[in-house]
Amino acid sequence: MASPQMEDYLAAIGRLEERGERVTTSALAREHGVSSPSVTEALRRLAERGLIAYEPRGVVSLTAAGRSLTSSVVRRHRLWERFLHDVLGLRWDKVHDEACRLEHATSPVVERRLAEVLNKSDTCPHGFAIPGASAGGGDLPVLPLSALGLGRSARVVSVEEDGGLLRQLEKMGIKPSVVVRREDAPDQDGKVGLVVGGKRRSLEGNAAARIKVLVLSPEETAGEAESTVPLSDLVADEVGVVKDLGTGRTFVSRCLALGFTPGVLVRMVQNFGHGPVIVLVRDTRVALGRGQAQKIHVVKKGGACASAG
Amino acid sequence: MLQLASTNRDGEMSTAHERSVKTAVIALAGSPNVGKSTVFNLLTGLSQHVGNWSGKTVEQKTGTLRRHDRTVEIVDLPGTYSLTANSAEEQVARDYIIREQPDAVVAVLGAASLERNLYLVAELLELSSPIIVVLNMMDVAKGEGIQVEPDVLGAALGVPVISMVAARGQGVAELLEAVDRVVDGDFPYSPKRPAFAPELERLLDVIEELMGRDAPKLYPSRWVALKLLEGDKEITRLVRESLSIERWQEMEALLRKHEDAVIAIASGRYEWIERLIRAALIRPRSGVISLTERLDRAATHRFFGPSILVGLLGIIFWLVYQLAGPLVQLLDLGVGALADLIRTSLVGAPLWLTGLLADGILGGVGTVLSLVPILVVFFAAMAFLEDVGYMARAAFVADRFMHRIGLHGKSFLPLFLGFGCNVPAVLGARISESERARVLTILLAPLVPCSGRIAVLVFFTGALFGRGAALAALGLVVFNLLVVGLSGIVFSRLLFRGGSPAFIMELPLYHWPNWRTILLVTWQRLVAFVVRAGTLILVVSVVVWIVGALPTGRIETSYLATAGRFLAPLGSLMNLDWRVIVALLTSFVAKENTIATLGVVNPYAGTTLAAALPQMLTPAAAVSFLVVQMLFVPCAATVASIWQETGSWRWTVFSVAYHLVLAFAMGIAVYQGARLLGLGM
Repeated sequence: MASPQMEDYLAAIGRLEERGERVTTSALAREHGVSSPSVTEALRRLAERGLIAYEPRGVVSLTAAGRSLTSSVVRRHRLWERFLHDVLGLRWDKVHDEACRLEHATSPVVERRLAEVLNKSDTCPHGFAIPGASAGGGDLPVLPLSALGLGRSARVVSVEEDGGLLRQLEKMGIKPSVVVRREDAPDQDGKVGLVVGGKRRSLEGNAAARIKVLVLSPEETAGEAESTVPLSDLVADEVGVVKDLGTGRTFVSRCLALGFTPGVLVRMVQNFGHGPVIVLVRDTRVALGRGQAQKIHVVKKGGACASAG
Repeated sequence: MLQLASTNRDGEMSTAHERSVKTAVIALAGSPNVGKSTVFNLLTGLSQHVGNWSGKTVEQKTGTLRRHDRTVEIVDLPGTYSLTANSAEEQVARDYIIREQPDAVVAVLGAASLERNLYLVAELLELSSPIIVVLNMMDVAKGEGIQVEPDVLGAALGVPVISMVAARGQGVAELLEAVDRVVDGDFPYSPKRPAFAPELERLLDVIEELMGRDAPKLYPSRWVALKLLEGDKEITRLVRESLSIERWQEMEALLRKHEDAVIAIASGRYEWIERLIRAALIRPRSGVISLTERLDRAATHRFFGPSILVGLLGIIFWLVYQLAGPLVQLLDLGVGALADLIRTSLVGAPLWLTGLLADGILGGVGTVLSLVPILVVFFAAMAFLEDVGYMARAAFVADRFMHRIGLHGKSFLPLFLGFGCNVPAVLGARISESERARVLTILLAPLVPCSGRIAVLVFFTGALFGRGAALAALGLVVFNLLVVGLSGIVFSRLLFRGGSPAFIMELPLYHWPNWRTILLVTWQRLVAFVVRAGTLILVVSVVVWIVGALPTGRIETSYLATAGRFLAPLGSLMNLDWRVIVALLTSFVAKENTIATLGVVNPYAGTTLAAALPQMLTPAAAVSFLVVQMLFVPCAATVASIWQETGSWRWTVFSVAYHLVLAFAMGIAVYQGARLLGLGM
């Protein structure tokens, strides 16, 4: 029986391998949050037990015995994360640390019962597969969100378990199985422009690199995420469907009271390309400053003849 | 003064049950531009009280109506699009309905934009007072090709629905009948409230449960839950104060998690409304171009729009000169004759008494009277443009340049009113939705040359510049407007950082003016002005007369002259002697007093002031004097209005100090500049 510390090291090695990173002493030290000498010491003990093997250039790999032990640890860890998140309602940025403590004290009986209670879950809340939970039909062609082409849509598969990142993503509504679209426009100040659930978001490049996504085919994309433009981009007589009202509670509230709700049709009545615009929404003519018209995002509708009511 | 006139509604906490059977209280609610005030005027006639809601700079109008054996008190709530406390108006409207529980709330809707108007009804239905829906402006709707079926809407809503054309007095009898039936409980009142998606309803239940018995008193708890999710600041504050810390934290986390619920709630209401609309409304076939659309092609056009606006403003000025000008002269003659009459009939009386009566009091009365014709024209013209629906277009057109000075289009109208008098301009700043825009408008309004200052300007340029008079006067007015613009830019950058306000406003449909409404609005604004500014002008006029008469009875040796001499060193920088400074000081009563005072202290006995002026002032000194006069501290009535409207001594003192510094700095700069260039010495 491996000690909890050794199990933690195995789990860390497992996570690195899963992400396709080279398992080196320094990578492990970073992943596990300890110093390199202690990693070296732990690796020596794992090698003594025949759980890992040294490879050239300081890379280590799991032996068959090590791999089986690792997937057992990771399975317990992710089952606990699921349980803590789904059943106990802990936030997804809190479950990792809790599960790290619980995974070592989990008897096979408890592990089996956990799996039964969480009958359908085959991933942890962050989107990583629970070993042994599903048949797993081969590897999916996932790529980092930062590598997604402009204007392409993709489904989020997994998100790295980092408290700060998770809290940031939660606010943006980015989590596994959510569809995101890379904005058509090129990125600004190293930030990745995204559309999530009809809202425009922007994410630091290195944060986007830590999110794995699965690119969607055009058929899958249809109806998922249409390309939105600022209301101020519509020319006279063009019709759009409101998708997003932008930010600022007072502004959103005023928009709502005047009839701008997601899904409503608006017709541009007058737009000179600068200065305020006039739109028709719910039988009402509304004048908007250009700044305000830029905040509201719409999807252009073909056939400008549609009534905006 | 107006605070006294307003009834303190917070004080009387009577409910419907305690009230005598003989009286009923009805509140009128509705969005702006639906003809709500026309309905109010129709119901109450001249039995109106205009005041302020306690503690708010929001106008409160109440009136009474005799109906059979009952007195119906009618309260006109401020026009609002919703009942979320985004503005003082919205807060006043909903607090009144919730706290005072009127016997019925009459929701006045514009039939032509029913869909958006029903949003307020959806909100009103969450409150406990019974609702009567009035579909007003049915004629305008018909003109737009929109057909509404009131009976279908009534059946779908479960509340009485009355169709009206208030501008032509149609539908009043039906409305009064409905009021009777609802107040007497004769109407089977079973309103249907908007239901939300199941998950939203569950969320509302959770929030209600979390508040439990600690929910703020008076407010229906489901409504409080809705307002919490809508992010209503006032309700959020109330709930935070009434819950324990732990439970509030739990609530806060829940609300943060459902930040988007505000959109779901509004969407839910509109979905419900769309269902009603589908049943009760027939839209015109598409392709029909409405009257409003045709008119707006010109009124909001990028070139024609500003031209039309400038043209209309020109017409207003022309009317002021044509109609008000002769009247003002006539009134002046009348007041002068009256003063002479006092002097001759009180020959035996002490000199101070005749002076006080003829100059102090009658002088003040004269000032107020001379403003009245000018303001009548201004108020009536503005009320007309407002009633036909043009005002929103003016704001739209003006937004382009108002934006540059950190304001939005709506603030243009009060500033324009400033040409008539700065007092209504300061009061008119209420039109702005944000506090920031309101204060900024109030600070800028006194820089607009009012009719009093223009009168002084015309008199002085006429006396001093001969043929170039008109050009000089125009130049100084333009100079003032440039100062308004520059001050706006500076204030919005330095004092009110945080972006320009959001410009989002409805452009109502055009319709025929209702003369009754225009007359009534003009009358009310005029009365409010005379009550507010008139009394103050009178008092200050008397006070200034006294300091100008004490201790010797001669202005040359009075306290006022002492003050003028004290400031003489400042005047000497502009080559102005103490007499001119004294004249400037008396303009604090009213701007046109400058002329009268100079006439009294005119050192060239036997000549008229107009003839004496060129001897008193070199051209350069005259120009710098006019610059000072145009930018000097606003008159007492304006300063008092600034204080009342901002509710802050700080802003009032700031405004006065700003004008003082600006006026003298500019005046000195102009004179010294001219001296350096060797001009007009």
